[in-house]
Parts: sequence; structure tokens; C-alpha cells
Amino acid sequence: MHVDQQYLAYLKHNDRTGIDKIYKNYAKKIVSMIVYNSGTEDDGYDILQEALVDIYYMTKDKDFQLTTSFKNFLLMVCKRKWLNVLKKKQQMWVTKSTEDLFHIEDESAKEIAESVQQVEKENMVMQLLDTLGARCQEIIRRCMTEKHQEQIAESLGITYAYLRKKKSECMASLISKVKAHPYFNGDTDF
Amino acid sequence: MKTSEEKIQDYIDGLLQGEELLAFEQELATDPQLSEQLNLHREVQSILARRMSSDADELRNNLHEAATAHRRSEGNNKSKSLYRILVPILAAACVLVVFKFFSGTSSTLYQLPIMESEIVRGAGEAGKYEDAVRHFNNQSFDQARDILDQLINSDPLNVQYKYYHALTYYGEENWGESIAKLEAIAEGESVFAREATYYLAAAYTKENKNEKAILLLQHIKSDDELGRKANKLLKELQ
Repeated sequence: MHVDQQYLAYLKHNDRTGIDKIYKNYAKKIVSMIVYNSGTEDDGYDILQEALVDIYYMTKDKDFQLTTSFKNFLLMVCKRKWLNVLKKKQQMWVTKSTEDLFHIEDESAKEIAESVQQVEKENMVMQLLDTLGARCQEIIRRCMTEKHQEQIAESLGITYAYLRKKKSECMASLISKVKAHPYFNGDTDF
Repeated sequence: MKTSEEKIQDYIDGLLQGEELLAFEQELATDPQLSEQLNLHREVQSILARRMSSDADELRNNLHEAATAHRRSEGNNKSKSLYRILVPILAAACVLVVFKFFSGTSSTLYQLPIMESEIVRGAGEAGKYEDAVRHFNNQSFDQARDILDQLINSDPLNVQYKYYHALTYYGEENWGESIAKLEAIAEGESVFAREATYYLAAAYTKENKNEKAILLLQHIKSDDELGRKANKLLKELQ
């Protein structure tokens, strides 16, 4: 087990003291990197927070083993996220020296990259869910988090049959958006 | 008649039964697109279930609080660092200012004082006096003197008027007149006697009468700003 595995545990268990340690040890480095690459300090802290949430998702339901330092891992996740932001802004210029900073001499890089991509895919799905109508979002959310769909239908003031119909329509709409998204067409840097 | 989407959703939720279930599974076996569609539904639904059952919101709150605390801490450190740099600079600046204030340069030793604005006796005279102040401080000494002449005529015992009146000649570098006017004030006992003595001494130096100047300066005690200026000028002359 890598000595930095503890940092993943801090996130997985939402350990405030541990989270403070993460910020104390790595925030300055991450924020400096973002600022150095045309971002602001606020951008830096936003990216860091979202990267830590991503890492939480990576570790949440599986035994994710860190095989490189947490610093390298965190930098890689932050870099990907910031590159995506820059790409959206069409400001794709990252300094060479910073590229070097993220080079990981480790066989685990591929495995880490796959985990990062999976989390990004999940983020994308959640973002697309937010683009659906409020009614659809509510139906999907409640159907995913509550067991008894009859009760959901009753509380929404609709019949169970209508709820089933609406749920499948809403899911179909979401699936349609997912299929149309560039990420599903080979562009992982969406 | 159920749509394809409804069938997929029912199948995932385990609601297809009997012949309907068998028919759907047969269709799946022969239709790759349907199979692909089913897999995508399952994946998306799995993602939704996973994300919606997480404690990410609580984590975000903690991350936000940690970030805020960290930024505050960093800000304090920056301030402390800046403080460490600025304190010596400010201290040095203060020393310099104090030194300049107390020492004065050779040229400042001969500079005229600012004529202070203040109301002196009746409203009418106060208005005139303020005009004299404005002219004096703008170095329009002849205009200031005209007004001061009027004020002296109306109040011959007012030494303040006479003092600034004498300094108008000093300002014009009319050393002879300024010396004549200042001597009378310097020999008196008014509150302007010491100031008049100092500028009298300064005027003497301009007339190359340094010995007279030195004698006068030696009588000015050096326990205030004027005294320190006198001492400085005295050292220059000696």
C-alpha cells in the first residue's frame, strides 16, 4: 500500500482534519499551476475542489489503490480538469514546463487515467441530467433514490402507470443526450 | 403497446414478466442495437444511482470550509510576510522623515514660514487678513503687504500683522527693509520675537553679516523646532 493512500481515505470518509491536511500540503501547488496557466486563484481552488470530489467518487465504491504519490495523482486530475476548462474557453496553451510537471513515470498512469475518465463520464451524465426539465429531473432523482414507486406516484399526484411512462420518457431523453455528447463519440477531452 | 424505451426500462426494473419478458430477451439476442441500447441504459442508470446515493454534498461543504480556512491562513501568512518586509522599510522611512523634519536642508533653513490662516478680531478685518494670507502664501508679497499695511493702520499694536509685513520684504529678498522691520519685533517681547530673531539672523547672512547672525542665533534656545533650525543654521555659519 502506498504511503499516500491515507489521503484517499480522508476523502472517502469525509475526514475534515485529513481534508485540511490535503489543502495544507497541496493547495498552493495546484493553485500555482492553474494561475501559471492563465487561470485565477479562484479557478485554482475551484479545480482543486472538483478534483477532490472526483477522487472521492473514484474511491467511493471500490478499493482504489494509489500506486504513485498523491501529489502526482492530484496534479494529473487537476491538469485534466483545467485542460477541459481551457479547451472550452478555446485557450489551449499550456506551458511546456508545466507539461513536464505532470509526467508520471509509473505504470499505474494508465489505470489512473481510466479511473479519471470514468469519473469524467459520470460527471458528464450528471451535467446532462441538469439540462432536462425540472419534472423529468425530479422523477429520475426520486426513482433512483426511493424504493417504492407507487408512493412516488402518489406523492407526485400521478398514477403509477403514468409515472412509469414518464420515467421511461425522461430516461430516453437523457440517454439521447448522452449518445449525442462528444464524449461518447471518442472525444474524451470534452 | 409499449415503446422500445418503455420495454427497456421495465426490463431493467424487473417489471417484464411471462411472454413479454421472453419476447424481449429473444429480441435482445437478435438485435445488437437493442442490446447496445440496453447496456447504455444500464450504465447511465448505474451512474445515476451511484451519484445520487453519495455523500458528495457533505464532502463539498467540508472541502469548501477547508479551502476557505486555507485561503484565510495563506492570506494571513502573506500579510505577515509583507509585514516583515514593510516594517523595516516603514521604520527607515519614518527615521528619514523625522531626520528631515528635524534637520532641514540649507535651503529650507531660509524658507519663509507659512502664514497661518486665522480670524483676527472683527469680521471685516478677518476677511482682509485671509486675503493677505492667500497672497503671502502665493508669494504675492506686495499685495499681501498692501493689505497688511491697512490692517496695521487699523490696529497699530498688532505684532502679528507687523511680523508678516516684515516677512513680505524678506520674501522679496529686500534684506535691508526686512532687517529694519524685523529688528523692532525681535527686540520686543511678543510671541513673535523668537521667530523674528531667527529671520533677522537669516536676513543678516544674506547681507553677509554672519557675526550678527551668529549672535542672534545663539540666543534662540534649541528646545523646539525653531531652536533646532537656529542651531542648524548656526553650525552652518560657524
